[in-house]
Amino acid sequence: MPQESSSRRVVWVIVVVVVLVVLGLLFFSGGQNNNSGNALVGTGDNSSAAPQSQPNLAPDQSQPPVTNPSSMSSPIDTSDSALNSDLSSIDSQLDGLNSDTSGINQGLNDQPVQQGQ
Amino acid sequence: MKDKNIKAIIVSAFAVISIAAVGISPVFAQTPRATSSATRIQSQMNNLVSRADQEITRRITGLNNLASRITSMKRIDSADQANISSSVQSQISVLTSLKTKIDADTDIATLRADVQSITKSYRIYALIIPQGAVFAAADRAIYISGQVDAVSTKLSGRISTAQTAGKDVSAAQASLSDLNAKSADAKTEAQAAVSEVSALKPDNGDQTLLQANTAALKDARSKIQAAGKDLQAARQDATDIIKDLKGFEGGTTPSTTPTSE
Repeated sequence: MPQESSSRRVVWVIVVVVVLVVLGLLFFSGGQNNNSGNALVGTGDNSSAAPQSQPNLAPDQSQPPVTNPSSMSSPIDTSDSALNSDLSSIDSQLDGLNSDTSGINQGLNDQPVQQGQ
Repeated sequence: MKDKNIKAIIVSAFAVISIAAVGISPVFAQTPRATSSATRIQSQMNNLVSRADQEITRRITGLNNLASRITSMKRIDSADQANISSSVQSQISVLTSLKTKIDADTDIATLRADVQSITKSYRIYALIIPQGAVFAAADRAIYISGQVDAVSTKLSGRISTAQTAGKDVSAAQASLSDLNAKSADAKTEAQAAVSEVSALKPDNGDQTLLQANTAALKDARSKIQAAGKDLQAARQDATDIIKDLKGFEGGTTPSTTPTSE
């Protein structure tokens, strides 16, 4: 009777060990899957990929064109309202000139993107 | 008998473990070290292509915007306009072809060489963009100068009328003279900026030429900025003159000092 009880204990121990081993293998294999996925996403070689930084914004050359002389009042209209309208148009173009100047700055400050090996 | 049973159980346990291990083994077979030389290279290529496409697209967008702006220029010499327009279109074609080639590349060595050529082509891009921006700014400055001149003509007529009416127009006259001088100077600066950059050529790796180009572009920018200040001053002169004219009508004392130097 004691021998039979001992045998049962051994059997249970073996069953528990088997279950633990199988669970361990499954757990480990899951980790491998995740690592494998990360490797694919990251390519493992960012240094060889081209840019090392976010691309710089392209200089904005899309400022409004300056081909709208009709925004000026009639050349023979010298009234205050006509002059005010003309000055408003000049103000608008001066704002555009500031943007154009910013475009020059951006063009001068634009940097090449590093292309590593 | 008991021993036999225990042995049988142990053997069964090892069998279960072995079967489980065999079932899991394909997972281990897919580890990067084992499989993935080809997969990793393909992944690198995809990454390179994606980034190269992004970079090329950014440049083509900037060049297209510049091309659109060049088309609307009316006050820049037509030869200069044609030159910069041609350079822009040429660069767009080069980059478009390069993008097509990069997208079709099948080996990583060729792909890397093509991606490197984006950087090489940057030499041209880096010149064209600020050069075109100088042209655009100069074109606008010259246009504004024309607007200021039109206002000047109107103000001159109003000042003459006031003078005929016996008003003291000396301050308004001084402001008008300053306005005209500032407008003329703005035009001169803008035209000088265009002249300074119109003949620049890509440096193709020549550091001396690169520095000369950069210096010329920066100097042209200074001229454009000076033109902008002139035009702001002229605009303020116009405001002062209008204030003086209103003072004449209301019987108040006109302002006496022009704002700008």
